[in-house]
Amino acid sequence: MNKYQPSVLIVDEDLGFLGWLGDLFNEIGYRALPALDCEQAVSLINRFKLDVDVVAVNDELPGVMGMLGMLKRAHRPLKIVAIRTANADVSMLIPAHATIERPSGWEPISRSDWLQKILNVLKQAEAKAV
Amino acid sequence: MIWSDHLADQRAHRRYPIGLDIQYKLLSKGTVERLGSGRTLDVSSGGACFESSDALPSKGSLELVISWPCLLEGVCPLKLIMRGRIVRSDGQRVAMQAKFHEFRTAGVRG
Repeated sequence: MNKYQPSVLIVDEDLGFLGWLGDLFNEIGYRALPALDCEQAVSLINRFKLDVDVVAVNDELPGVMGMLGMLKRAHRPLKIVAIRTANADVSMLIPAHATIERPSGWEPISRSDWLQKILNVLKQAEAKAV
Repeated sequence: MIWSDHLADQRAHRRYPIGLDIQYKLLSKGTVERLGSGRTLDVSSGGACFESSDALPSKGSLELVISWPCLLEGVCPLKLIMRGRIVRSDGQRVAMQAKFHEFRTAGVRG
């Protein structure tokens, strides 16, 4: 019997962070779908008719509201995680259930810390999306 | 690329420790000089550092095909294409500055 594997769509122009998040989500059992912009994300979802449980998106990307609108119509309940720059002094641009901040500074990043961070973000998003 | 430029590029793009399988093409005057494989040590928007199966020169043009750990519809692999040039090579450990990168599915751009 196939076990259901949840999917996360990650949309960010920072290729390294996109790969990093994808790698972490894979480790906790998600199928991570990457896109460098919203147009690419919509194309990927439509072309392959993919189900999305969670979308983690840079809320400053062009077309983000349109992409979220499309996803919310097709994928319910959809959990939305905003990708933000650490200490960014801007108001929340999208109706996110949780926020994840990029690493700040240039210190090495800890995989175990980030795995825990992802789990916490998912827990928070789960609670708020209900 | 001089070393100070390389350091500036490192500062511009945080590098993330991600290990992904790669195939590379070493290019010379638009033709493929050599094919090889390896695995990334880190990836950023500005390039990648990888361990190559064979020693590579300290400069030259490269195309990397990075296998992204994701199968679409369970069968269609997702690849990241990265093109650029070698900025450092300690034999089999190679740093590449990317001028271009994009995801591709099998036979499809984007």
